[in-house]
Amino acid sequence: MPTSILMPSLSPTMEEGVLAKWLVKEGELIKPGTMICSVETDKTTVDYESMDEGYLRKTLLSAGSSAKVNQLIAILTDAKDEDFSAYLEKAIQKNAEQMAGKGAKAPVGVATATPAMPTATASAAPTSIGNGAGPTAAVYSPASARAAVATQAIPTSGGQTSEGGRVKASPLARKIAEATGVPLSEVSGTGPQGRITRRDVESYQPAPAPAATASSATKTAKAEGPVQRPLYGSLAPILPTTDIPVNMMRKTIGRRLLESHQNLPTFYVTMKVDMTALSGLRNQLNRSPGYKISVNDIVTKASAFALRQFPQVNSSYLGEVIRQNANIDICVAVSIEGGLITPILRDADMKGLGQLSQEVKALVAKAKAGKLAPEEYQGGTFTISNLGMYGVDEFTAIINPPQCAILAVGGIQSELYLDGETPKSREVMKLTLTSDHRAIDGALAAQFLSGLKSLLENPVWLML
Amino acid sequence: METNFDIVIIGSGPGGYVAAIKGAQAGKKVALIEKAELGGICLNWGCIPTKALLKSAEVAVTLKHASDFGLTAENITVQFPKIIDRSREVAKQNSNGVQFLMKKHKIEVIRGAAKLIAKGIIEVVAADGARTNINAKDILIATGASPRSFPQYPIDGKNFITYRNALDSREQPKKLLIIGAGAIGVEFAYFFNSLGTEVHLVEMLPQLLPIEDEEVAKALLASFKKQGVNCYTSTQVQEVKATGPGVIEAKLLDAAKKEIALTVDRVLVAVGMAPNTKDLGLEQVGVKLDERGFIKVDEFQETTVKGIYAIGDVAGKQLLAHKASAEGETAIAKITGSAKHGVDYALIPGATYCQPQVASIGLTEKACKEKNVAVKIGRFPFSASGKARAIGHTEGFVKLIFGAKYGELLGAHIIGSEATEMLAELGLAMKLESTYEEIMHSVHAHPTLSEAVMEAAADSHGMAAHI
Repeated sequence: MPTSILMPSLSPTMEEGVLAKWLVKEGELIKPGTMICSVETDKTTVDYESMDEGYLRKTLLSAGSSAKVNQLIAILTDAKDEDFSAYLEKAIQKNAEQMAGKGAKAPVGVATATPAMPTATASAAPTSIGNGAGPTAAVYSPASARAAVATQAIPTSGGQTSEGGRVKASPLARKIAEATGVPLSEVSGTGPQGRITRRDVESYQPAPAPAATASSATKTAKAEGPVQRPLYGSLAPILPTTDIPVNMMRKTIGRRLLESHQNLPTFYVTMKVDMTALSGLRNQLNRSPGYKISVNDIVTKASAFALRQFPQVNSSYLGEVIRQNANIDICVAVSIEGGLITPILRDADMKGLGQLSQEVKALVAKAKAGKLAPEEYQGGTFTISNLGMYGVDEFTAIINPPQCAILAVGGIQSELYLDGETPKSREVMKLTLTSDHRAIDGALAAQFLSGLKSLLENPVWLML
Repeated sequence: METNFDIVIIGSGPGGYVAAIKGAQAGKKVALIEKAELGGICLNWGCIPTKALLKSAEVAVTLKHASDFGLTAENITVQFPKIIDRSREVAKQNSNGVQFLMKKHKIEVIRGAAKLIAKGIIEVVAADGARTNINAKDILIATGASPRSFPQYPIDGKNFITYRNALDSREQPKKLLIIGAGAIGVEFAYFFNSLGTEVHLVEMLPQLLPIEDEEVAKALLASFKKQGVNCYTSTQVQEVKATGPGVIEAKLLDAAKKEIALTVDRVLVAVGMAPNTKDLGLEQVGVKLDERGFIKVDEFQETTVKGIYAIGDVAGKQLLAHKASAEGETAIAKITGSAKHGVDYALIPGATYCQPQVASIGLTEKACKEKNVAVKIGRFPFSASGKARAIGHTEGFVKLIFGAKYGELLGAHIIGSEATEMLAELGLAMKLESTYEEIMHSVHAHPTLSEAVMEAAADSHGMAAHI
């Protein structure tokens, strides 16, 4: 007689689990106490021990895939070659119905529903991240990876709004909006029936934020008379205040960074990098006519190199899965009028320093001119923010989700150090990595930063 | 007579009467003041009667070429007075049509000359001298323009005439000098030449139809020469003098500073129009004029006095009937509170009804160059159109100018048999902000001349099928 094996509930809070590995092959005999499979729960990885005896005839979940608790994952039969096809069909259907019924009803008559005590072999999270390439793990190819990212609809910056409803706009208005990154859904059309025309797109100003409270309060005050402090009496400032409307960009920055800061369990790791070798290399590089390689260019290049070595850092935390990105698309934070934007250097690891430097320069120029196309700032897998030029010693940056890490680069400073007994001077720079602990553990962050430090202190390795 | 109105419009041309209808449609009580025929110059002395004349010319030309179509037409005689009569009859019918429309929309038509007395008050002096004061919440001035007078061309209706005299003069000139090769000059040149008058067409600027695309003007010049019109471009009229009734001596100075002496029996002066602003009391109420004498208006046609609007020729820019109507619509929209934008003057089409016809909208190639706009140009000659060949009108071409960056239609220029009708879809394309793709992917019926439009759009990106 065939029996169903369901995804066990291995911890009180577990709602679903990822089947890390089958420990028994189809056709093999299982006895009570045999470890059937490893399951990643929300907390740890647990081996699942069978209470039944029988032959594992069919596995319904491949390694790396997830299933909800009580979802059918395998079929067991008493006899080695017993026909279970009829049972399978019914079991799948019944299980699907039960699952659809919000799992309210307990699975009836299924012995394996309550598993034996799990053998908790809590392997460290990074391991599971390391091998758990996720259900969509594919052969690396920039193009396919790009397509996958594009269709994934990762929330991105830039006030991308859902274009569910039809937006009435002229073909020209659409083309201009597309090229200039104006969100059509936010443009109010002045054509017939609100159709958006060229003029509307070209004169589009991001809507001023609801400075409503302030301005309406002012209005009320004005109506009553020349009262200087409308709302808070003596608490209000005596000198006139200036209300700056929160534009779309500031709104987006505010929303996304607040979201990030509130929701991400971040931690910070800082390292000091000896810049002696790098400065020397940079001087050499810049003697080559036509190039002006900045420290930031080299940091970007080295980061791309390090991300290739530590792909776990180059991931996106997507709730169900941690997606390791095959492309290394590095966002470079650029301060622009009214805010900041992070243009993306695509496939940074595949570009030589010269090309990389030129592309970053072009992107920065475009960003400052407000001419970035949406694909030039939407997406990205890792971000670098550099405040070195402002004389900043070190700082921490806020992650741009779903990215899992951001590198904050401080300025170059001279310091004294002891070479044996002799005090010497050298140039150093501090790097701080902010990591999302859900995807990156402390050790990994340290290893990544250490790898990056080694690369920057031995920049000739970048030639490898 | 009712004397209180929401909107009072002075002048019943295509600006005034269309505005009156729009105002009535918006629920306003409207009066229309006219001192001459309803419909203004356009219906009575311009657009419509000239088209009637030109049709006669086209029929004459067609008959001349009857043998090309396997027909024989012999002893064709031009009965010039009857041609003029037909034109007058057409004008009259159209004017009656306006009368009917006014009645239908319950618009009060007041006959007489209007004068602004104060803001909101108009005095109308009827033909019999009776004076009536009319009160209006809003006033629209749509009094049009008239030929500018030049001392060297003393208009007498016989030796020196304007388009207006030409429209009701029943005597066909034998040798005609036309000064000015704008739309009026060119149309009359075609008309008289087709009926057998020896025509000399003089233009000071380097091309016929100076505002049209250079390439189109060149094609027209070639066609006119072939038809036998004597064209002189970059040529100045040095002296023109009537030495007797029907004997006028003219001296021209061409581009090469060569003097040309002509003796003609009539001179048609087709240069310069001046706004009709006199005796309207504008100064009295504070309506200001611009440096060229046209009434100064804002985007919504409002003059320097609130509640007084001006539209059409009297307000300057392109002196075209359809532009006047568009401005009338804008002014009414402003009055009724629904105006969003003023008239987009880049979207005013131009049409000239000689054969081959010339029609255009938007920028010329030269204007694009001057504005430093990167363009992609597509052309399609009617010689490659099956329909054009079948109807025997293979002259001309369609030329479309698109922005290089976004592919939007910047300008459309057509010269050919039905150019003025073919232009319509391009006006729509521009209004809807279409790009070359929408035009080239719109399936055009076969066989039509309009296929050339689709092909020209495709040609702009090297994708035309039939060239």
